[in-house]
Amino acid sequence: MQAIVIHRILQIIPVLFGISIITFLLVSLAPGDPAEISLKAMFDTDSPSPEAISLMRVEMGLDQPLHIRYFIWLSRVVQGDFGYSYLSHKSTVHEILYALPTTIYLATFAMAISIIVGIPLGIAAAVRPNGILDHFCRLFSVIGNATPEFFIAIILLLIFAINLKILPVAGSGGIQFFILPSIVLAIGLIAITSRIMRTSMLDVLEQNYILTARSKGLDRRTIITKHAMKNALLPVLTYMGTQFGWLFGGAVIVESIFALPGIGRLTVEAVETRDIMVLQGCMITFAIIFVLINLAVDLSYIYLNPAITYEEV
Amino acid sequence: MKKQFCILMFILFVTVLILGCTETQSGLQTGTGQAAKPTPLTLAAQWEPKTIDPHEYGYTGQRIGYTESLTGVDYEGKVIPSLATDWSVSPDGKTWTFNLRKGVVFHDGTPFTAEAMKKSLERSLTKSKGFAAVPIAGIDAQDSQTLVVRMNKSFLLLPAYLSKGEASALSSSSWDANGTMIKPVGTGPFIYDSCKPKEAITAVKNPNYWGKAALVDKVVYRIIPEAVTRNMLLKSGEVQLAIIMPPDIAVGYMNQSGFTVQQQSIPRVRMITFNNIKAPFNDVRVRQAVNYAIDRDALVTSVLEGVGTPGAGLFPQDSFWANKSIQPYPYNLDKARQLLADAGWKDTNGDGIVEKDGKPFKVKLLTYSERAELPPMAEVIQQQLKKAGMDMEITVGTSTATESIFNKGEFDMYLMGRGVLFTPDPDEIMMTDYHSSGTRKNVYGAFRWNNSWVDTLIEQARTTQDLASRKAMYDEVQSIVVQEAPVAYLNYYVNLDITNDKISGYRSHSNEYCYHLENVYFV
Repeated sequence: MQAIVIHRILQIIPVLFGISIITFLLVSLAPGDPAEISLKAMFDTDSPSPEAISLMRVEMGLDQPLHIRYFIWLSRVVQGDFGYSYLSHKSTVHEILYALPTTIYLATFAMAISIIVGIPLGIAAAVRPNGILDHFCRLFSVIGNATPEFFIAIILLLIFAINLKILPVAGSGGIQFFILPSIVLAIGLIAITSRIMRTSMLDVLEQNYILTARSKGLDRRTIITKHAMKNALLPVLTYMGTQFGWLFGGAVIVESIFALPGIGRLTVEAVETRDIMVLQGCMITFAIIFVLINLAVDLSYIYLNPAITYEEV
Repeated sequence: MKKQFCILMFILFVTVLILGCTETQSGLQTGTGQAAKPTPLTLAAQWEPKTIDPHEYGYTGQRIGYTESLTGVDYEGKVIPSLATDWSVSPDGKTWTFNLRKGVVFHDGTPFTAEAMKKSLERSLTKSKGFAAVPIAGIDAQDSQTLVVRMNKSFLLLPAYLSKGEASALSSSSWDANGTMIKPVGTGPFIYDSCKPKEAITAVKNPNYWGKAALVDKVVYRIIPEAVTRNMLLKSGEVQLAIIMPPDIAVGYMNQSGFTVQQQSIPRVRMITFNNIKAPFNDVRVRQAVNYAIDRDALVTSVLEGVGTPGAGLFPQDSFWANKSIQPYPYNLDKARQLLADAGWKDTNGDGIVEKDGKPFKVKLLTYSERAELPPMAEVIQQQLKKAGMDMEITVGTSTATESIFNKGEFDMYLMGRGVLFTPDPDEIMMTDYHSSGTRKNVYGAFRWNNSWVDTLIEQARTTQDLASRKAMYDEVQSIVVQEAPVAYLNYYVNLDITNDKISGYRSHSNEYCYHLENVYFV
């Protein structure tokens, strides 16, 4: 068990290395002078003075060749220095730690909502295939999956914040500010979770051991909750593991609409303003979160299905 | 297993419960609670200060009103006294003397003196790259109310530059021993209170303000990047003022009672720059023909939802620097065709497109997608030019991509939005966009165009201290540019700010220099 955890954590290192090279290249090779783009954002102007641009180029190290810049950055990171934002002049670590909790709350709430709604919905649909609930569930998935997040957000805002006035429109400061954003994020998730749960459940219900359980006279409820569900949850769990990481990316739109100071917004702003050290920091944070979540999923596999051994994982 | 599942379910249940309970709590907060306690004046704007240090990012403090600079900018965009009551410059343009306002105190109670301003300005120069182009040699406090700024060379733009937020007067208690900002302590009608990054800045009334004291006790500036969200906040009553709304949202409020929409044209112009060194636009008649063939009113109504003013000269008509005698090119197809014919472009084969030496008229217009209205505007222009016999092809890219194509000269027309008074003085835009030293280099402006008389006028204006004579020189430049048409001005950007009827006294500022919230009050 310990070995596997350590092994997995060590796996992060090459992943981070790869990601840092790719983001560094993407940002550096994107058209436009990063110093100029950064200054345009800083002063809200079309044409910063040439003097300012040359100062910024020096600050950003753009007078050095690309590979040298990368290795300078890398050697700083190895020493635990993730640099600072060219715009706020705060350390990258400070910027990320400020933004991260918001997104973690948002993603967790969205995940919780999708579990509470999606899994029972999927089970209910599987128990009576082609029943009314199954049709409803299918319709919901199609609509939920196809509707853009910003549209759902606007509809929910109109209902709950403008007409009923029971929830605030935007901002942060309490759990009430997370309700609507989490629901918006959760809807797309529920749509898929319930479908996967349904398919997986139907699969399990056709297995021989369910037939055995039925023939020995167990009631339907016990069969589903005790025998079928646990096995049917495995694929759903894998899916949710990857989705949790995805939620961090999906949070970008939701964080902008609901004006939440999360890491999605931080990342997009860092791209727009070529705030490269912050961007690299965000990417590395995403990578760490992704790897840790996948690790957690794998470990929970072992827990849910003891037949899977550590070696297989 | 059953046990674990029960625990899981229990956790989820509790989560639901928490969510459920807080709904009612927030109901109290946003519902009846607001009326009971005094509401702070709350506004929503998209601008996010990257840092609270006004010497690094100066807009926010100035707009909310907790910082002030030596000079200010009035609603017309003219530089006016603020913390300096008047100023003068030596005949060689190298020594500026500012007389400071008496009786001004910083928010921490210390007096505003020349010595304090010197310290503050010196910090500005080290912190902000915005002053990289200002040739300051040194700053001296001559006496407690007189500040002298020495320049390396003649520089008449100093008062304009000193109006910027990055040159704010801050008490030295604003920063610690390392020069890091603790909190901005300025002189404005509001006192900086707190900041939640990416969310809100709060300021309270300054009871000891040197000018007219504020009418509200507290101001909350909310940072809301999405216009849709600012719209919702305004609808729900959480904010009384929404800054810069898109036309499609604003038109919905125009005839709605309970709201006021303020339209303010800003010094930013949508324009087409011609490739002045390449056929067909190396001929002034063809450039003028395009100007006549464009129906500017139709552009405003069809693309901008009627929000915008047809472009005449470089500056919008209500700007101090505008040459008010310039009229927009009238829409006149006959004149356009005539000018094309004079230049040798005639429709000989009857296909509706003019030809010259057997080659049909075909030009390429380049524009970018970051300003969402530009691509549709390009399409309308395409239709309009076709009526005059000109065939135009549109290329849309990101601004960084189109800029590099532009700089290589691989275009015929470039449609863009251009801010013209970034520094509240025309010199900068004149030098970069219309003086041959600027047009010869790249980026923006009248591409590769030069007119020696325009160069002379712009250079003279740089060394002329009398405001009226300077204005006259810039007026002449503007009319020459319109006449020779190296560019075609289409229309000016309009800021749309919306207030609800709970407040009064707000007026949009043409370059968003300041919101002047000290004049705003609850009705």
